[in-house]
Order: sequence, then C-alpha cells, then structure tokens
Amino acid sequence: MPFDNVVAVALIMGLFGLAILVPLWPGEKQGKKVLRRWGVEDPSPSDVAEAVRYLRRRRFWYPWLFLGLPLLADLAGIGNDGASLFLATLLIGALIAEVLALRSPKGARREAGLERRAVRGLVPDWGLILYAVIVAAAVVWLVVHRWWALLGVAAAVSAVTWLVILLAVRRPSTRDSAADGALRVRSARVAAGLGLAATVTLAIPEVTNLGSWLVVVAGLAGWYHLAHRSRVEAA
Amino acid sequence: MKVVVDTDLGIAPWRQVRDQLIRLITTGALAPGTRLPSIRQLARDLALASGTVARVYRELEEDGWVYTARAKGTVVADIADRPGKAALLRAAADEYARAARELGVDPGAALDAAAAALESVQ
Repeated sequence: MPFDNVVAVALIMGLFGLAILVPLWPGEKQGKKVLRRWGVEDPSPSDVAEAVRYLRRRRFWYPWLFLGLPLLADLAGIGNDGASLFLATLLIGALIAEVLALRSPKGARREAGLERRAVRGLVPDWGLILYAVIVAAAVVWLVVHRWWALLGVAAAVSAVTWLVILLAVRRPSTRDSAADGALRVRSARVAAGLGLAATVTLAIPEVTNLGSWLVVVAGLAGWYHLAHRSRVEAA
Repeated sequence: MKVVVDTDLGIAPWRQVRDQLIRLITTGALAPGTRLPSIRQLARDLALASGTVARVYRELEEDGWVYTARAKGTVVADIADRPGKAALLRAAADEYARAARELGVDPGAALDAAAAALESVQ
C-alpha cells in the first residue's frame, strides 16, 4: 500500500477512534455507579476519583483495539465476527489497564491494607468451577472438530483472562481499601465472565445439538452472573 | 485496617511497619489467628523491597508476635499476657523519648511536639 494511503487510513481510523472515545469517556457519575454496583454504597470523592481513573484506564484503549484487532485478525488469518471482536476488545483493554495499574505507588506516604488477597477472594468458587467446566467442554468440542486454529485462540483467551485475574490480585493497592477491593473484584469477575463468553462464542459458532446448546447457555449465563453482582451476593 | 509508611518521617520503613503491626496486635485489632498479607503483597503495596518486609516478619516471629504456618503463611500469635493500655502508652512514650533524644531535641520542645500531635489527631 502506498505511504499516503497508509497515512490516510491511519488518520481516518484515528478520528473514528476519537469519535467512539468521547461518549465512552467516564465521569464522576459513572465512577459512583460502578462503586455502588460493586458494594461501596457511599463512596467518598477520593473513591470516586479512583473509580473514574480505573474506568478511564480501560476505556481509553477500547476504540483503538476495536479498530486495530480486525486488522491483526486478518493478518493472522483468523476470521472475526462482531461478538468476538467486542469481547476481545474488552478483555485486552482490561489486560492493558491491569498492567498499567502494576506501577508502584509514588510519593513519600504509602498505605497498604492488611487483608490477604487471593483469586478465591475475588471470584466466587462457583464461578471458578463453571469456568473450568466450560473451558474443558470447549476444548473437547474443538478437538473433536479438529479446529486447531480456534483451539489456539481459545488458549490465548484463557491466558489473557487468567492474566487479568492474577494481576487484579497482584497489583499494588490504592489508598482506599473499600474502593480498591471493589474494583479488584470487578476486574477479576468481569474478566472471568468475558473469558467464558469469548470461549463459548469461539468454540461453538453454531448450536447444532443439545450438548452445544447447554454449553452456550451455561457460558452466557455465567458471563452475566459473574459480571453483574446479584443482590444475594451484595447482602 | 492498614499500615502506612512515610519516608519523610526519618524513621526506617521496616521499623514503621513493625511498630504498627505490633500496635495492631497488642490492641487486639489484629486478632490471634489472623493471616497477615504475604511478604510480596505487602512489599508491593508499600513500594518496599521484599527483603524489608521479610525482615519485619522475621523480627515479629522472633519476638513471638506471629508464627509461620506452611499452608497459612504468617499468622498472628495468641499473646497470653496482652499488655494493658497503660503499658502500651508507656511503651509508645519510651519510643518517642528515644527518637527525640536521637534527634537531640530538648525535653521542653519534645513535650510541645507531643502536645501538638495530640491536638492534631483529636
């Protein structure tokens, strides 16, 4: 492709990305909403600022990933549909955000909570078991059909999912322990849910029998319940 | 419940962490059997070297404040003779007096600083 065409395409995609980013850009309202949804009923201004920073760290990447991932998929020779692109954008955006959050706290005064963090403290046991069962079923399905390229993609999805979950455990804490804990739980559960949904949509593009129908329904229901904390869990 | 490190205080970070953990254990805020965060977790959160936090845990273990269980990590020990408030206050005052002496501050200025600190935390 001639250089001027490449520049034109990059420019158009950049402008399109900015147009997507503007409505996605979170403010205080979204910060409060996400904290309340994840159990911080009365967030302080510093909690809200932390939540807004958390959301911006993710959403900044969404337009660029949404535009760039199809090109990468074409280069790799992997077909992509709308659902896979959407899920991959959210998952990789979360991964980048968690990697950025690994930076050590700056300043002379640093605080640490004394709660011991672990994966099981962030993702409920039923979510971990469901994830393992769905991934195992998807692997069997892909092997039976000999869809080796998709098996590789499913392995990559699982790797990204687990990286996000482990980084949510590992990244340094921010000052407020309630907001910090709530946002960690959100990161891990949403990543597990996205991983489930991405695995079933990749492995079972078409429902052909009762078994595949059950796996798809379980995967999508798991995604919904992991990414939306129920009232029972909140109580 | 949290631990704070302030490098502007002029007190070694490991000492700040150790003193705060001892205070939390002696006041009962950290109950016997409570699992402390892993060395790596605490070191990352406080932006300290793992060796610094390892030293704190080692000293706490040597003094009997905590013990290490293979599966649980570092756990708060059951202190039989938990000191009372008066003893704790005396220990904190001793610590402060030592720090003031090390800084070469005269007793009057040290008392004024303590009074100002008490005012500020009310």
